[in-house]
Amino acid sequence: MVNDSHEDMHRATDDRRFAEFDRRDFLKASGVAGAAGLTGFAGCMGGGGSDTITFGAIHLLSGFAAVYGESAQLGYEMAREEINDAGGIDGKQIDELLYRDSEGDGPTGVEAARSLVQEENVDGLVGLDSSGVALSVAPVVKQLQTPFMVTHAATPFVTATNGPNAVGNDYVFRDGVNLAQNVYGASVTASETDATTWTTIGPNYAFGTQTWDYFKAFTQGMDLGYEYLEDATAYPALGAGDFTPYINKVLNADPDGVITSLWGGDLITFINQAKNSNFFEQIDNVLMTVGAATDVLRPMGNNMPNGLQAGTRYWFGAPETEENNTFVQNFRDRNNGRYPSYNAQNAYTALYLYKEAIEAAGSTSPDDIISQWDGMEYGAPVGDFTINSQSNQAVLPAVWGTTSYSQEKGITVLDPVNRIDAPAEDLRTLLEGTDLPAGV
Amino acid sequence: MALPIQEILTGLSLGSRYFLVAIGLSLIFGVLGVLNFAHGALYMIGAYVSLTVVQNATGNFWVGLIAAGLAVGAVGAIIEMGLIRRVYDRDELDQLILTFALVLIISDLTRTVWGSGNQTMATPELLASNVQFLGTSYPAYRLFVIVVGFAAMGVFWYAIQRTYLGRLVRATSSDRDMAALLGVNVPRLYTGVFFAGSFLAGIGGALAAPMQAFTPALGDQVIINAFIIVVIGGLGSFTGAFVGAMFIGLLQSFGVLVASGVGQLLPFLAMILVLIFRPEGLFGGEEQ
Repeated sequence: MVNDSHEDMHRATDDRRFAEFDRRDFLKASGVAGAAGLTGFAGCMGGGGSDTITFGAIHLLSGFAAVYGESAQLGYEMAREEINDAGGIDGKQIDELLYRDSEGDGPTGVEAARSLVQEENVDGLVGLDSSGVALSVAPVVKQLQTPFMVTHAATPFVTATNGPNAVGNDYVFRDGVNLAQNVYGASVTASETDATTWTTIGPNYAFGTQTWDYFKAFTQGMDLGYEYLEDATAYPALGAGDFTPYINKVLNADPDGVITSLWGGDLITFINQAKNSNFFEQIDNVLMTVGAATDVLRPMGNNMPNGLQAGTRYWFGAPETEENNTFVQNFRDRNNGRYPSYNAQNAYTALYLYKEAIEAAGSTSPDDIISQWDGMEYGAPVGDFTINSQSNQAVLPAVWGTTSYSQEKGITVLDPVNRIDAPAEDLRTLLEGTDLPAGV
Repeated sequence: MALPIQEILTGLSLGSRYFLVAIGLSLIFGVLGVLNFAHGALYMIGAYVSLTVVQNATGNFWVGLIAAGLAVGAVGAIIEMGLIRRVYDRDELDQLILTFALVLIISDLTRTVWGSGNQTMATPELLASNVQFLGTSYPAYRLFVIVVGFAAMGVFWYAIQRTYLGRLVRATSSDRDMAALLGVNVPRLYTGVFFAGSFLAGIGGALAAPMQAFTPALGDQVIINAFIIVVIGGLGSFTGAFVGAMFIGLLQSFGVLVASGVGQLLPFLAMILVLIFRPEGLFGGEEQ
């Protein structure tokens, strides 16, 4: 599957050439119109001249993971309404967001980004649910010279600028926990158990294999002396529908601990089928890297096993700050009592990060926005964070906790919940000597 | 010892689910000559109907199962009478485009009604336990699914080979015009065949609901396997659909033991081999 991302990157490189060509052509054409004409053109492009601010959002809006795009929309719409009601950004209202479906496909995502920038003249981009799409889109937004706040896709390679396969650049930022930060939290959580033999079950693409690679790298870096059962690793295809063959395989190897990066509907299916195979009775330590996603916990109801270790990129119950409590309360009021998912929080925060940058710079020019974001400190529902100026990644703690069904809330919660600090330097040090970037 | 037995049972239960979709796909093609892309979408509706009947109305899984079969059968019959009947004489491309359009329409209607989120359903209480079996423990519900798959095969085989109705179906499938001349009500028979194929898809979807989380995209996952199965087994052959389904189920469960990911790859490899060496499928051409 690594090959896939290579291929995506080749395509992205081709696309970049086209983008460059488009832009040059465009500038040449504008040049003919003379300097005055050029300024006029820039005005039409949605730069400083217009009365409103426009954002384009690229998400999974169809298919088996469409729920991720939907929950992001809930976050954007809430932020947009709040900001507009409070007078907009520098007095300008935010237009209805322009949504594009990435269909989970790199070239489709690239096309969407280009159309939003070149045809719709958006002031900024947000979104991306899939790491594969993010790897394709990142090099293109650099050519389009448009800021992109990634809200969901977690691959560290998008916020890394050095090393093989890194596609990070000045225009790509991320306000959500990345895979390295999340798996660092998993490794710290693992270190508190007495498990020594480990294996993994994850989706059969970069996200699944990278989770295992980072887990091995971090736990080796921490000198935990783990044995990694490579023969027992299981990578079912996305949406496989039946994970029992893989569950049997893992059980047969009898590891002390299993880290799983299955997500969304696949994770629900896995948990139900694992329960039927008495998986949780036989494996003492199960770490689910995105198990505490509300998109998973809500449909699970009280069927989620208690006592598992689950991670998430934002937990509605932590931190217990006024900022977070207000956000959760308002979100629930708007959405029939539903608790916000990490995707909704990240989307919500993304628009506020634009507001912060545009107002601080007094301009919507792309270069002003990205230079404001560079090293910015911001207080969001997810907590206070700094955007690391080397990687453009928000330095956020990894949230891990123990699952426990709450009768009162009607949903499984994390109790206790740990916010595990993941300082950029620590992650980089632990990964030294590997070809895995921390992306932070 | 326990692992091979578990993988056999897992393969058979996968195969049984696939069979319920593949048989309808194969039957509809064999008799009507239409390749129904929307068959996976019908399976998906089965899961949602069962969910709604169980959770919102009756609380009874068995009622949900039958309701899903009947409702999806009815949807299939309506689709046949209202739309597909009009394109029998057109070329295959028109039929494919029509049934593909139905996939999109059905998926989006389902999203509008039930949303895009994941749905789950509890295993019926009667079958929620594990059965001790040849030195291993296995979920009773999966054994039940295997029984349904084999029973469906038995009933179909009997109906097609031994009953008057079965003879009519076979006659119409081999020569529609002659059957019509001999007094067979061909349009009604076609609707009946579409109903039966859709009924089984609905039952398949309802059986899947307690086993996995599902979204309106449930059908997309299933239809690909169903197509592989009917290509391997032979389009139009229900023996082929059965053998193909069990074969693919077992390949997927045992492939996992060879190497991760191989379970997904092997069915495609098998399909390529069949297409090269026996393009009519393993059982193609025998029954017609």
